[in-house]
Amino acid sequence: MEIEIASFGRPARADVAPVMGVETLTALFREHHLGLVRTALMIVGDRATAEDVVQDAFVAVHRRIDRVSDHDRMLPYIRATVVNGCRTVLRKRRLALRHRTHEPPVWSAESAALLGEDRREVFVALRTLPHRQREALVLRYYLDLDDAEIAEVMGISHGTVRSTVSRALASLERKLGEEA
Amino acid sequence: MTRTEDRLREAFTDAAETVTPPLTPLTVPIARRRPWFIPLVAAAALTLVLLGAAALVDRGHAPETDPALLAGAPSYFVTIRDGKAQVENHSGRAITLIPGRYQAVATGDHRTFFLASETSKGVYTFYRLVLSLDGTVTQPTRVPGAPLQLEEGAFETEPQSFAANPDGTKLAVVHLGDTNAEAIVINTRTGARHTWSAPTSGWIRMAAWADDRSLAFLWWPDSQVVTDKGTEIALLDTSAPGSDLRTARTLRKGPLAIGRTNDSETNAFTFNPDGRTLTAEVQRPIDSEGGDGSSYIATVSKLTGRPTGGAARLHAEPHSLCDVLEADESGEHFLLLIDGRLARVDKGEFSWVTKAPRSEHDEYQDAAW
Repeated sequence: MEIEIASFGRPARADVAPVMGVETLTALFREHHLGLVRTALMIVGDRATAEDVVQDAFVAVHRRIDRVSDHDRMLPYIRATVVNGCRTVLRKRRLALRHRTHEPPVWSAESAALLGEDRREVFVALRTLPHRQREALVLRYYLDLDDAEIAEVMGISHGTVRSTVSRALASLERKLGEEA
Repeated sequence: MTRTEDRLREAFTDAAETVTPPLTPLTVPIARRRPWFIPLVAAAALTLVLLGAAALVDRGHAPETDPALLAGAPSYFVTIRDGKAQVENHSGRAITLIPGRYQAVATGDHRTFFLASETSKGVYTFYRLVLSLDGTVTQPTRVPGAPLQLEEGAFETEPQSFAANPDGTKLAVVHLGDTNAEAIVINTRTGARHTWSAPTSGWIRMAAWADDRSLAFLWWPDSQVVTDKGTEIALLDTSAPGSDLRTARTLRKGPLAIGRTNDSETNAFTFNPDGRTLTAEVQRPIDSEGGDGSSYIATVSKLTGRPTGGAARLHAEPHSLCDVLEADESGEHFLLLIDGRLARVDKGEFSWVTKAPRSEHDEYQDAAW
């Protein structure tokens, strides 16, 4: 399922939809802003970037508000926009050498003091996973989304969600020395 | 629930709790045609900030480039912006809007252009059109063959993962699947496809044809490699049998040298018409040894990777992201897309074609000439 978007240039409910859409968006913002920032944090690794990504996502959805006709689907749409924003950030980091020595706080050595060594070990292992595997684990084990919801957010099939999570867990178990 | 799953949940929960309110207040621009500021829900800190109408009238043309430098350069190019393809002139003014919605454009012969259209989630079809010398274009006609399944938004951040070979008989798409890097070559006459793939924990992007059969791309087979050894330009012989991407040979390993530093990164490159050199965008790091994040384009030998001439500095912000670098037929003019903004280098001189985008809608997604 994806959020229903009316044809470009033709709002679904000409005068009503934008107002209702803004109200829905406002309510979503109130309820999910913190959670979305925390989700982005798990993927990009630092709070400032996570806040930027979520802000950009709300801005992007707001821009298209007059094309959103199914307001019940707005949350998955925003989640997907946040995850896409995280992907863009990670790609730019790969390309920009300034991050060669950059340790995002969540998985830095300093985080051990804040979260404890066990948590840091998990984040260090997570960091070595391909970004899509990391996304899938965050969506499953932080947001508690099911296969269908993860598929919707990541833009992949249900089967791919299951295999991605499975491979990610297996890889993580190896890295954490917890193979059965 | 396994021990690993438990540890994951606990780690996520604890890390999440490090983020506590207050968060940065959110500001979003309201509808573009309404030139005033409206606070929407102050209590929720959702403040609507309006862009001035005047700022939106001109979607942004930079000062004209010196006409003498433009001599011999293509008069028109095809751009993608906000999902729309159009023909623009040398100063970025729209000449013709191409019907349909597209995500990427590529050309091999500078006359026949190919457009990629995401017809549904992650499903792409390709179209061909011909650009005339007077800036007019033919109606897009569909390239034969079944739609191509990629990731949703595959070209949004990777427009140059799509490339056409010089004679226009082949299209290439490079992309990263769940675990495999893939290069897909499509015959534009028959629609036949050939895919090369290899397991990877790294990244693949930026396709460019060295000639009608050799496809080059940026590839980091191992995610750790990028931090240790920089970028690898790989070259795949698409006429050879087999489907293992690892048969691609390394054309250039490690950073291209600019000045004293050998610690630079390449984001985009293109092969020059002389067949012997390639021109690459090279970005220096910001470091304690004088690296300032500046970007250049430099022409280097295809064989040795050594510079064959001077480097032109791109007057962009430090650590700008160059998504597109396209040479013209003469090899003296280059079209670039930097942070969503069109730029060009004519006979070694850099200039912006368009002004800095003010919103996502103003950002160019791709361009070719």
